[in-house]
Amino acid sequence: MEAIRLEPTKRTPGIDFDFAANSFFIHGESYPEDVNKFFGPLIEKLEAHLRGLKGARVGFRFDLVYFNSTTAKILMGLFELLEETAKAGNQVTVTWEYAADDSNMEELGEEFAEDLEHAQFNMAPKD
Amino acid sequence: MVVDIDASTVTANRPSPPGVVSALHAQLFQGDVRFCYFGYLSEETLQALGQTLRDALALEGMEQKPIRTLFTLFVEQAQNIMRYSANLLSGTQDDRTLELRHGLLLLGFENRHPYLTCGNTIARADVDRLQAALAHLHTLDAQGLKALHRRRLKEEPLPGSKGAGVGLIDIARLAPGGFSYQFLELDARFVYFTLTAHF
Repeated sequence: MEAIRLEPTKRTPGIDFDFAANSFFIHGESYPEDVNKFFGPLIEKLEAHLRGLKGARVGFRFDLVYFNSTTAKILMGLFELLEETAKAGNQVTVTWEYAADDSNMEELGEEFAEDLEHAQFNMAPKD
Repeated sequence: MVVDIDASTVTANRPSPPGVVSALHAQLFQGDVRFCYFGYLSEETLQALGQTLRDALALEGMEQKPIRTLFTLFVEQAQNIMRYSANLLSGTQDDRTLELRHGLLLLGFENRHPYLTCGNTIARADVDRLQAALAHLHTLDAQGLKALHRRRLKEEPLPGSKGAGVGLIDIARLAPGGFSYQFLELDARFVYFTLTAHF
């Protein structure tokens, strides 16, 4: 699948999905006007790709500064998808980057990761 | 068409615009209100107001951490109005399908602590459900709010909910001084709802 690269805007995060390398990155701020319209096609492509993997190394990195509650719901679904991918026999590493003084982002990362058993999860505070 | 208005009646029964403005200004000034929007909201206004709020607070010297929390709650409050206000205009304008909902967004200070208030009209039929949800949030501690937040993110949206059903939980979870709310009587069909997040 061809890589997807979207520059961040004031309301939508930057997307860097490199399917060939199984390297994925979401960064910036997210409170899109229509969350499903923005994330729907991305998640659909991601899901189709991840469901077909076996024995692969997958790296997923988040570096979000702010997101609203409807985006949070999308992210929760994304974490579930990554856990399923790991459970299906892939080595999945999820990295959650956040500003070290942002306790809300830290808490949200922990919250999303609570159900991860097969996927490896790293919290990465930044100064 | 000629409309015959007796000017003396008009001025006697209602304050002139400058009178309204000066009274409003005095009240806002007294309440240490730094920011106030009263009107129809669109995605464009939300983005512009949110950005201006962030910039203004940063220029005033507030640290990024409280600004992030204020901005987060401001967006949830604005989206609450944009989804649930019963005072709305809808239609098509220049090939655009519009739905504009009316509400109030306000940032003030009380004893140097900020507070954010949103207000909008709701149907009387929705009062009980909303009141029950808010009263329940008041009974939960940080752990309880976190657990509920998590559960809501994982489940299907609630009936009648246009968002993720977590906006109110976010306000309860993130407002350092908690939240308060009021239902003000308007008429037989409508009630004015206000929700304040305290810092």
